[in-house]
Amino acid sequence: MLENLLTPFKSKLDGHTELRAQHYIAHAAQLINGNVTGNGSSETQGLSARVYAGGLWGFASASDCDERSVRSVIAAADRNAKFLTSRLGEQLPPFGAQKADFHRNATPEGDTEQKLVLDFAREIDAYILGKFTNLISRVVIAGAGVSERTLVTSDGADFYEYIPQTQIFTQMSVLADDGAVVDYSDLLAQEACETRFFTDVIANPAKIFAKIDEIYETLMKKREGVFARAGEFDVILDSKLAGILAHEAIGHTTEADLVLGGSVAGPNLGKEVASPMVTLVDFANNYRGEPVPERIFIDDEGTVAQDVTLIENGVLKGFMHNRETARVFGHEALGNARANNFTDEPLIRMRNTAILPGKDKLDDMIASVEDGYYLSQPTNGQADLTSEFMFGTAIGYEIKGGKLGRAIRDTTISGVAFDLLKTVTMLSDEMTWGRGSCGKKQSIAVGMGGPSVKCRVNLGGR
Amino acid sequence: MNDIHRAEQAEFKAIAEETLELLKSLGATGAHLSVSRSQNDELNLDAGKFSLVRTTISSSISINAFIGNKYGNAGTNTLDKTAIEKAARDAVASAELSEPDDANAIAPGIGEHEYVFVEEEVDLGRVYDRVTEFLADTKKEFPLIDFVQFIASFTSSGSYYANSNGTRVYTAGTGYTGGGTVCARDGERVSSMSGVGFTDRHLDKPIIDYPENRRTLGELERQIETVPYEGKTVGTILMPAGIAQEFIGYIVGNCLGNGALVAGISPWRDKIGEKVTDEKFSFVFDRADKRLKDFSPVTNDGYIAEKQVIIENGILKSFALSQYGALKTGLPRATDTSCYIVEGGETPLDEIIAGIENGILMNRFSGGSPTPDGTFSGVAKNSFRIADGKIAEAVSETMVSGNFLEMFNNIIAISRETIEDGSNVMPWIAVSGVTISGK
Repeated sequence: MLENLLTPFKSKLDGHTELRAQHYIAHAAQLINGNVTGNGSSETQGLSARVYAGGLWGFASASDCDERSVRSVIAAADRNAKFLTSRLGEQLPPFGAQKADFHRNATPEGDTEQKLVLDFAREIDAYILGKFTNLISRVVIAGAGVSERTLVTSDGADFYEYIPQTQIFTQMSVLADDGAVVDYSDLLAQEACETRFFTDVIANPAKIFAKIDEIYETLMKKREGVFARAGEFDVILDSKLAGILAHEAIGHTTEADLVLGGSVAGPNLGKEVASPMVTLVDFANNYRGEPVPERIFIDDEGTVAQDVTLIENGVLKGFMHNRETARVFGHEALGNARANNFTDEPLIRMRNTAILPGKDKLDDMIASVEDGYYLSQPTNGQADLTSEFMFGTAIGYEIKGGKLGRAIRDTTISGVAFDLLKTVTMLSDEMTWGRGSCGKKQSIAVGMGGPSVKCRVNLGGR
Repeated sequence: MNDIHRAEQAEFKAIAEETLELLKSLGATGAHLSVSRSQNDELNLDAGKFSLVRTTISSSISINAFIGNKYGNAGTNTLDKTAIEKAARDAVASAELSEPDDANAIAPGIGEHEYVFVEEEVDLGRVYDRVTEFLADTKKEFPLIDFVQFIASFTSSGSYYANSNGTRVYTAGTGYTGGGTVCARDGERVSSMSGVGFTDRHLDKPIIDYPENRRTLGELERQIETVPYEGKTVGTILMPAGIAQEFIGYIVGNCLGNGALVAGISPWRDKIGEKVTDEKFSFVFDRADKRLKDFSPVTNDGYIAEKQVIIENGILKSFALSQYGALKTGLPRATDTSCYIVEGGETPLDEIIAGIENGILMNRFSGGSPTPDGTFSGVAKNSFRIADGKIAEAVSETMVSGNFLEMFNNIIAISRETIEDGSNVMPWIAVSGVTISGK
């Protein structure tokens, strides 16, 4: 629908202007204990313009995608930029010319029928109901859609992508012997790469049902679980948690807008902030030749996306930038300016932030802990300018004398990242990627990855 | 009502009537829908400097179709005829796919209503001047404060709700909101982030004068120096209004709302008429409370809202169920589920603090989602130790954990003072029995 919509305007854009159009189709179904509580579809489209004048930005968006609307949002964005320059005067000169690039990242077009999504949600629900008889509740959510976006800039950038999106999730609850309701949830499938339409994902239901079995088994262990002890412990963070550690604990502090806002990373550039075994990179679209979860080729300012090394062998090496902060710091912008919806302006965002793997084996890492915890499933997380972070974990296990013990129920981990990273003594040789949603002003999809990490953290508990 | 809103009301009514007719012709036996449009004009500051003006014009239609008691939904963000017709067909097709459920029903008709609140013209200059004033006031009163980001906006919106039982409700108005992230900095030393903001139909006073802004900014300056919490204790948490509301929100989500009750996992599912909290605690939902800004009196499912008592002197009086949740569970529908009202208690805040021997003033909770039975843990951010009746040093690396259902049974005191932020009325609440731990 959008391909080539904006290309004719590329040569007509004055000054520094970015023009972007997006279109989404989404289907969703939700079942709670077999009751269909969500059953619907939506279609959203629109375009936006951002204009840079005198070091100040104007932005405007509208939901029509036609020539008249293009002209209207450009004019409104220009007016908005001029409002600020009329009050503040010219703050900065225009950006220098940027290398223009052309990129297409599109699958053949496809769609998903609502019936397919609802029927598959029912199939999962029936499987859970038929197989696991001691549950007190079950939730199944299935979602499918396509995301289409195109961008042109006055620098000549021209980008188009068409990406299918699939998400299937379940949550199960059971009553524990102490009367507590214990729940556990996980994604059964979450894909957003070039070839993963809903139909492709569910083509192998055995894989999805095996994941359901795994979730149930984990729930049963959690049902027998105990509460963590509060305090500071040696822990092994499973590779599924390393990504959220990379994202929340370190990543946010190295976003250049937060550095300008006072982040502790600012004065630490070039200094040792972590164990020498820690290297942390924000990947653009590939890791060792394989696609990463959230592939960015050209960002929403038209900058060609490249990897950003944030920490190398324990030394803080760089920040993530948009074009403006790159100019302030005298660094190079490498494609971290991202917007979620067409109504959103680009912000400095992570893409696929990961701690690079080491050489240790997970079993050896567990064996090295005398009294601590192995934590294996993240939930949510938050960061701070001070690098004090937290994230929740849905399941973990005690480690006593180097051996895994009882499961522990939900708890929270916290620490000061630049202190914690110095306590890292082992990194496993595996690399696990996952996807999450980051909520910095706009919610946006991010990739996160890493190995299992041995370190020392503060746990919430009893 | 001004001419713009009158014209919009006529436009939306025409869309609604035409769509309801189309749905009927497609086989829907009932339907309800909402049509809306808004314009948001927004000033952004980054790192203390004006950076962006953003205007977004949005529209949407959400269509809910019923075939008997089978239900389907579809929506689109363009109001052109082709897009709406497609959405109507999709909604009916989804309803056909669903199975019958007696809980799928449409609210009875309440006739035609219009509610137009404040109607102001967008005036970015006024927003700019207020934000500039806020920066200057902050610099003067709290010189160590830095603005990481601040956004102030003016929104004009209109919406139209219609159902096949004859309900027609147009709601429109304008208002200002703002919010942002601030920290305190002294050289390379920096405090945790915290939030300031406002919401108002008018913007007729300095932003620094809106509730909690001065306290937040002043306390931030004292959070540059922090002391890690030593050891582990079971102590008292003093929750300012915002945190008290956050934890009451967990009660609503885990014990009172559709999700927990339809799933059958609410710990209070059989507790109507029973004592569930300390008797000092009462709370109601009441969007019509005179201390709040104007809210539409019509609920999302098409009823005229009325004050709903949820907990009275510790006794559970009602759940917070929508029509669907009520029909599904066989429990009464809540007559309102918006705007938390908790009245002030007997004790002045100073006296509450003076009575705390060992605890913390928890200004922000950064934690994982509580479990269904109320267990929580997280970091107490922007917080201070309270020792021997006095607020002492700011703390860092401090975890709190407990169970929020037990917490509301361990209320020490509810402050006489309340915070009225335009959307809720909330006092400070002190609770005991929370595990506080550090390094």
